[in-house]
Amino acid sequence: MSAVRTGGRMFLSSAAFGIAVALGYWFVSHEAAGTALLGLMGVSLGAAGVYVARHARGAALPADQPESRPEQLAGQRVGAFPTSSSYPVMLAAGIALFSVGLIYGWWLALPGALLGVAAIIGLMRESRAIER
Amino acid sequence: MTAVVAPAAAEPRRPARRAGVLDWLVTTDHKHIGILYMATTLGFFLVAGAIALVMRAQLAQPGLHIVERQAYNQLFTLHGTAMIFLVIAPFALGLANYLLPLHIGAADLAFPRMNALTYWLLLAGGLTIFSGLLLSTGAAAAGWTMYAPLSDFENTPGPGVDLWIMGVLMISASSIMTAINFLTTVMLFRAPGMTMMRLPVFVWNIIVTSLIILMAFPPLAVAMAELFIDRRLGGHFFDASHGGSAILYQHVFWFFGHPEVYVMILPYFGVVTQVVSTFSRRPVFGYLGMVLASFAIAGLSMGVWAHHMFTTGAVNNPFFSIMSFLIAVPTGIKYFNWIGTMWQGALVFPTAMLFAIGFMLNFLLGGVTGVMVASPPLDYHVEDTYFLVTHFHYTLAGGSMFALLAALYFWFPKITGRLLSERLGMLSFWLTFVGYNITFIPLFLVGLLGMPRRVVTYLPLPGWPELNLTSTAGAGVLALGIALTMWNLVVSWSRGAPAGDDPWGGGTLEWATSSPPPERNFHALPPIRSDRPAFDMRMPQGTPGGQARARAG
Amino acid sequence: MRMDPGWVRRAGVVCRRYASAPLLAVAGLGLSGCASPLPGAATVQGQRIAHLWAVFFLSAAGVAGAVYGLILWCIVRYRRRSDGLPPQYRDNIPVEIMYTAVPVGIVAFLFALTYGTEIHVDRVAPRPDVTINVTAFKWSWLFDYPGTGITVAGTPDYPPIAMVPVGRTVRIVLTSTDVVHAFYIPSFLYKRDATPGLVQRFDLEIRRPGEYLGECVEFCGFDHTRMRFWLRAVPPAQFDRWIEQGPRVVHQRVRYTAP
Repeated sequence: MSAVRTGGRMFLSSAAFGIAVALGYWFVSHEAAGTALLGLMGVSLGAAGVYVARHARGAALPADQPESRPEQLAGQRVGAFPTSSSYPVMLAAGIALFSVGLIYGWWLALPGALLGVAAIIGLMRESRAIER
Repeated sequence: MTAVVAPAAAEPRRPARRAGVLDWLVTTDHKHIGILYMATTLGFFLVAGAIALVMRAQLAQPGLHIVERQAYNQLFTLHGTAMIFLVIAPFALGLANYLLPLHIGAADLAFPRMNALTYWLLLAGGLTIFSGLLLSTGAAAAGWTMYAPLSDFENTPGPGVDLWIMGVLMISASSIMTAINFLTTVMLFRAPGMTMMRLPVFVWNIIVTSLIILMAFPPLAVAMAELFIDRRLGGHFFDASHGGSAILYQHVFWFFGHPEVYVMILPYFGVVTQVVSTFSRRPVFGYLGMVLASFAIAGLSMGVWAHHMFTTGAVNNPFFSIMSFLIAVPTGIKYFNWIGTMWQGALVFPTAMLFAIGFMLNFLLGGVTGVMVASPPLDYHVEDTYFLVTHFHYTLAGGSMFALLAALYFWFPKITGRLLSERLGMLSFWLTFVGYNITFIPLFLVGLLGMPRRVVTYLPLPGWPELNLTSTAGAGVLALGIALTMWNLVVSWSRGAPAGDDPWGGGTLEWATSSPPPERNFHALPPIRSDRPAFDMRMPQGTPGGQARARAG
Repeated sequence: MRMDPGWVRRAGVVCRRYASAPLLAVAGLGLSGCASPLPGAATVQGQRIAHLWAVFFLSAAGVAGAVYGLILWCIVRYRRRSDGLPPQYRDNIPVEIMYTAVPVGIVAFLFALTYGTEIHVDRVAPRPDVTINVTAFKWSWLFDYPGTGITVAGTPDYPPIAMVPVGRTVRIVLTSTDVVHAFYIPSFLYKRDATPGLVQRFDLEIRRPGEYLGECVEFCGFDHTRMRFWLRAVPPAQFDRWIEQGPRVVHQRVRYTAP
């Protein structure tokens, strides 16, 4: 079975588990906060599960075939992995400045937000280059 | 530019390039990021450990000798916060960062740049939390649980708590992204033949850990946002005098907080499994049961949060009690898996194995006392006393920290190409193990006598000063043991004996590549027909059980 | 071997005398059971908790002993002696089923006992003999005896000393005015959180006169450590006389730190 499908099932069964425990918890406890948390957990995992399951159909990976060998992939493109990028550290700095700026004032939050947006734009342009 | 082409089998080996400071800043290589993670978390570990020593020194005798009340409140808040958010959990994620692609035969994680972002966010979050120390009002001092309404603006003014909230938000964003990255990588980037049922147990536990992170960290972010709104934007989520509820905070926080302890233990279960299997020369016993037990722990862990709230009188105690008891079953299964792995094996005891066995011995005490505190009537006595503190230290320090040290000794040769000194390692193990137990067994007893946690001093009641003094003495021995390992790391990094590709006779794929691994991890992969491809490669004839009965995914 | 009762008694005395001695503490949990670290339960409810504790302690010691035994056996027996490859089997289904089923049985047993104990400990009498309203605040306690006009108030420096009768059902009605505190009396093996906006009710039936230390165990800020109180349990007649002295506010005037 394809691992992507396994992953989808993992999410969907976790979602079902969350909903089931939410219902059970409500009937034995009548407590709103926990029921809401469990229910929302189930719903959000369900959303992830549906997404993965939808994309599982076309996914036939050599990794999932027990008899496949690593040499089968020799010379094939297996993915795009950049070795360096200056935007992640920039984005993290932007997020940090913005978050701390929420405490101390706009003079810190604004530069942080600008730095973060610049980093995101940079990441997107870089992605286009990588995909090509 | 960066499209990766799988290497042909005959490509010659070339060593990884040595990185400069700027390279570390912009790297998106999972191995470099893993090293950054582990080095940073060890740095925070030393800080949080030093804080623990100051606290133990203060508690050695009744009275205020070392620190004042408010300073002490900051210290235990920082100790808990750092150990949980900046050491035990992220070290495991950093280790997985390094190992996961190697374990599954991938070139990198699925999203290398997002991976770099998670590291820098973790560092920024940690520095933000500690930056409170620079303020005249000090860092957050409301305990790592940051219970409302103690943490609201009226009761704890000053930006320390706000900085704490922002730091934790950054760390939770970092963890969520890491979890997504791990899950995607395992689903899509395994080497041909590495079916799900051939994944090393460590990888399975990282999958389960990632799932728990996705379930538990969003509620933490919600709790932090609500706390911030209450503090700064005039909200009343947790303010009972305006229709809010203090209990609500505890629900949302522990909905994160309990699963978090499994984030802090499951990866280390995986570490111990790998180490024990390697040094017993046996395959993991009961592989499928082990995987299912991890999932059972994940599921149950989401339904036990209010066992931290038994004494509030506002939750359904029997429901949370039975759910908590049930977690003991899958945890027990893991113990029997480890014993089954050692059974009839051929055991050797290098430092990594010693720490793994130390983990088993210590964590067991955390486990059986965990069953005690899961019983509400017993919890009525021990909740928020040193008994409880000692219980969770046996799981997270006696447990996770010992497995962390085992992981250091086990994988340091792979990461650096050099062995750690075994002589220093053995000495470090015995000092750590003995010191740890001298520190904490007296705290079980003083907890049963009724000593509360989070107190700066205590009354000189019969037994209390003696037990506390013993504990402080033990902490000194423990600190010496840890210091030896740190010294060992520093010295062996540049001067250790060359390790070779596979110093231990390991089973998983990382032992089939060079030490340290080349830029894309593998020049050639062996065929993968079980969860121990490197072992199969070395002994193709000798593994009737290992190969023939390997499962097809 | 014949068990000599005198020997057993002497061993008990030795254990108790050295309960706090560092060496014994290090010697492990087994000895800690012998040293009986649980304070003697001074309430009827606490006695039930102590009984439950004994069962849990023995179960834990049994389970831990068995698992320690297995681990140590492996370490001693299966030390590597040759370069030969040990057997490479991976499963043993009957054993795996057994080590899943037996723990389920153990926790089911422990849960049944827990449930039975909790019902008794949490039971509130329809008509308690004495009611005390306890209010926690930063950083002390207020004990109010409704219908009598008596209030006992404290400060961190001068913790309150509240009177309670022995042998009667005492209802505690607990709340907090500011942050979360917890009302804990180690000798009763019992605590309950004092949460703002919530009122908690529970009963205590004290078995013997004495002075019992109470502590706040939910961290509540700056002076959490000193947020203590004392319960002075006296015979009912003496308690009644104390009540009959009429409405007043009782402040503690002496620093009082140990009985």
